[in-house]
Amino acid sequence: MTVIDGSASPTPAPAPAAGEALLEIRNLKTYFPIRAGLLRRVIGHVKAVDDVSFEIRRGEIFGLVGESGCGKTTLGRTILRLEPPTAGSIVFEGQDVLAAKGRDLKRLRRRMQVIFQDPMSSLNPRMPVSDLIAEGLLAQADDENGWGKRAIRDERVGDSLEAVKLRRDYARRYPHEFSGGQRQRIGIARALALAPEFIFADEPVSALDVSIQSQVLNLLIELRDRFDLTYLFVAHNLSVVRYIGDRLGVMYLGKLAEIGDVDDVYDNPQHPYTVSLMSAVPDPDPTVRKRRIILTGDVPSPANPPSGCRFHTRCWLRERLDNPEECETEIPEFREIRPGHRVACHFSKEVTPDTIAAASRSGIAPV
Amino acid sequence: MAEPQHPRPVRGSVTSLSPAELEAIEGALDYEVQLESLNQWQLAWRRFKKHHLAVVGSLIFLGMCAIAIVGPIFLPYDPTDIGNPSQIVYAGRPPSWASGNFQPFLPMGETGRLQRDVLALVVNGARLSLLIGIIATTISILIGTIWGGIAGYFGGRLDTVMMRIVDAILSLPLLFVILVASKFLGSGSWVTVALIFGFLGWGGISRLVRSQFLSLREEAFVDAARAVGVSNARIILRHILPNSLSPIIVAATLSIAGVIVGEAFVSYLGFGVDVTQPTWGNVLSNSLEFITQGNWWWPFFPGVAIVLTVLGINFMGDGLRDALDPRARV
Amino acid sequence: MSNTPARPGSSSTPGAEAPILKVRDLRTYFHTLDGVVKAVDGVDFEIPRGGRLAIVGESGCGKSVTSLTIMRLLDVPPAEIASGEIIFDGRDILTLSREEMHKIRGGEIAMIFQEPMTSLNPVLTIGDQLTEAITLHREVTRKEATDLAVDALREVGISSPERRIKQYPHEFSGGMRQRVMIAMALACQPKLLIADEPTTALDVTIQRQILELIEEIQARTGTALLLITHDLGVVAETVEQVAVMYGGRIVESGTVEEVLLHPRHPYTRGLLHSIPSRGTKGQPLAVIKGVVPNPFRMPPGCKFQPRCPYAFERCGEEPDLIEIRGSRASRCWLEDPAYASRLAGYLTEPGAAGSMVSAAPSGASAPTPSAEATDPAASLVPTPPVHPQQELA
Repeated sequence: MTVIDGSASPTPAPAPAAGEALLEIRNLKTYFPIRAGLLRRVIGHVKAVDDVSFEIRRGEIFGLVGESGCGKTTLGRTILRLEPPTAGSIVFEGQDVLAAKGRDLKRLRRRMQVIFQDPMSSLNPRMPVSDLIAEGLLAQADDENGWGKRAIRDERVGDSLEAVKLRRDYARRYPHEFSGGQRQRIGIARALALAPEFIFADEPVSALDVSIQSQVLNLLIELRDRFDLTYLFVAHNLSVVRYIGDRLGVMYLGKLAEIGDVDDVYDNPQHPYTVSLMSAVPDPDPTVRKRRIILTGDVPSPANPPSGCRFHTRCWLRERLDNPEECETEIPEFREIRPGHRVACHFSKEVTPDTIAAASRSGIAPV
Repeated sequence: MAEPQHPRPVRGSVTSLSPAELEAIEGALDYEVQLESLNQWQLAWRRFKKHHLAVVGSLIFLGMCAIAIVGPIFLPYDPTDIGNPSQIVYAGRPPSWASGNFQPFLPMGETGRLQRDVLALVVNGARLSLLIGIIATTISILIGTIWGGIAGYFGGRLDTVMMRIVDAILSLPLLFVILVASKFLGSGSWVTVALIFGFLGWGGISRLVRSQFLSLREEAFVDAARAVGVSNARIILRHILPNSLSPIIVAATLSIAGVIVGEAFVSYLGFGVDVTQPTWGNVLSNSLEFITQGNWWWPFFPGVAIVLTVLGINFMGDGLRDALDPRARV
Repeated sequence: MSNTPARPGSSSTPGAEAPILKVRDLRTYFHTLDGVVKAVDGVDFEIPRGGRLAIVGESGCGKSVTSLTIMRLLDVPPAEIASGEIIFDGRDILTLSREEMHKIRGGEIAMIFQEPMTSLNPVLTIGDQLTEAITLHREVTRKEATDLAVDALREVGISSPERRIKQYPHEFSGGMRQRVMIAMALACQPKLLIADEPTTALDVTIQRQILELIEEIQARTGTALLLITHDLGVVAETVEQVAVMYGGRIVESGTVEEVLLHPRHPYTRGLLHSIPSRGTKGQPLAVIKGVVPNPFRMPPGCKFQPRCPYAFERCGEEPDLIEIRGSRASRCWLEDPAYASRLAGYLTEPGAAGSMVSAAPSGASAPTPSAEATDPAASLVPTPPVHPQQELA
């Protein structure tokens, strides 16, 4: 790895396999009311996050994948209190996140930060880089950290820029002078300035060119090792998550379908949705002819999700098993089927290489 | 809870990047980052300068302002001087260059009934006309921005209620209000006119500001500020307001023009500023009865002044809008 | 320097019938306030009838501008087609008049775009938009056009098409809108379909549906396909021939096996090595140092040279697209016979041409025996590259 600051090359962090839980999420629900009419009455709810429970361990990169409407972004935003939660609990190292108010909330914000997806819109074009990064320091200044003093803030801004491999004097410049990759680094520097422990990375490389993605991914890992960070890494690109993630969660329509170690979930998926998701990813190796499971139809609306198992309307396994009733009437429990591997499916045992092979097909999937 | 240490670079080097790193970055710099660092306002100024019509328009407007301020000092004679007190119905003298009679020197002619010099009227009128325009606009902008900003940022029921009030104000017929207001506040004072226009004209601006705030508050950089703990007030002042300034500025320039024309309109109806204090509007409206007698110079020069000023402001507004467009690249 | 000009995309059998599209030395420049941007600066390729070619590259490389130039959808000015020929079905369409181009656009060459959300008019029904396209290019009555539209919708897998034809775009999801776009594109039975990032905005499972659809229809109707994308996975599964663009030029071309498994140009190599699916967990990803050059300040000589780990003195001069064999070509001095020894060294480096065995066990494949029998590096070096490449801003 390239040495940046003259000190000895940073040693990789010890494997976080036995890390204790940094963030515990229990039965989290985030619903958005749908309003209509002159008096704006509530006529329904978009169930963006619908009873999700899992934990994120210290030092790990937790990958969260799913397609549009699955709620992964809303989940991260709820953790950061950027969205109002509807029910459930989030505990960050013993502290109740959802109940925090005022000063407590402000302190909490110091420990949890965010990196946004779009480098173009996440930086205020009217502010120079130094102000963008120092703003958080100013907001969080107190007697203890001394961030109220200009000189200390400037120093910290410079340190943050260097940590993301940008020159210190870039602080004087404006966002429009930088490329997409550089702007994303500035966004990362902004997140680092407060010395957080947890970072919600919301599709941090999706808007970047392929050749820049690898630069930024390397940087994120290096920063994790160096500053003892923990990431919730939301992405829709499965190969990125496979490379960078330690554990993986798959969401569908507001609920968690599967969770486990990255390689375990990729190689032995136990939820029918995960299976089709994995099989849908195109491989840059033209000699690989993957067996595809093509899902029928579109993702249902989160305002009106199917009853019982959310996936049952498109599930190939259900079709194979002649449409058992439970899928439609009962919400499957999120059960541990192997150590560390949890699935929410009534019939996850039936997900075997044989059934997968039998379900693979090509041809146009009707909508 | 101890914070994890933020690493310190090795002391003694200007930056802590190794020479190879620096060279590699500087090499890439040439191709990527510009050499000069301009902020958004400087960039806007550059774009504005390229807009030739806008530059001309601004010069006209600024020229009028200059005339308003220093013009009266340079008048070649006493503006209150009455030429022919004995003539009761007096048609007034045409401009010197039109009639050939240069004694006295009347560049713009002389009015009839009032026996005032048109040049003096135009120059003095500039002062009040522009003042009315600028003061009314300032009032409208202030009220409109605050009103629309609060409605747009906080949304919900507050927004609904506030915007319905705006709807009500916008539906008031201008004439009635002026009539009523002048009954209560006494007509004739230019201050009254300015205040009326100011307090009636903020509706459109509040809608504009509201929609700006509404969309800007969803921007990622606002979320980012919230995530680090910045207060609402600071978010509004530092993030949302600077980014909504462009449409506000443009609306302001157009408002000045609108008020000047509006004042002329109101003067014609008799509710404007008292005739003893000239404005372009009331000079113009008092002159129309004499057109049939061939006194073209009386309405002509104030009219030209109004047209020039309004055009100038409109061009300036066009240029400002293009220059301040946040989507425009360098 | 090879005597025969490189012909990216051409079929390997000589004497085959004339290609449906032949682009020669295409140059599209944009005149902006800050200077001239040479978005496309000398592009040559061809697509055989019924063939499939992908143009791959990152943002700013000129791939989209190429497709828009072919369809003549650019505003001229500020765009300027400075030179070149686009020979479609035997005719140079750059010389056609507006009316003649109108007939071809949509009728013989159809295009689908990236954003299905904005490509459809929100105030017209799907049926209206489909029949508009059909009646423009075919001699049919309105009733017949409606029937054809219903058929087209059915063919792209939209159920109850008679009902859906009366609906508006906002009632369709992203994937379905893209299907409608495909239906519109194919309703007039074009000879060439240009797809500009057709699945980039879609979820991966929907992407899979759309790609299968394109493949199936294309196979059935024999329409040629020009695919513009940045996604190498999509390329690998959809086309036979691929051309890689950088800085407004094609820098490498060949079949997908050749280019994706045995890349020759340093840019292609760097790109393929840096994608996460090629990475090994726990080790940093390979990186191409630097950034895509500013179009107003293009480097002199080879456009990739500032970022190329193999640059040498000759690179101060821009290389031509040097043919390796048939459609296989690379724009790099290393391919020039004068530097054959350098080439040999370059090809035998660890991580050289051929390290495309994916780290993921599910994808492990024994690549088909390389057609490049003359290359000493035809056998594979399965270790991931260990480039001491610097990371950069």
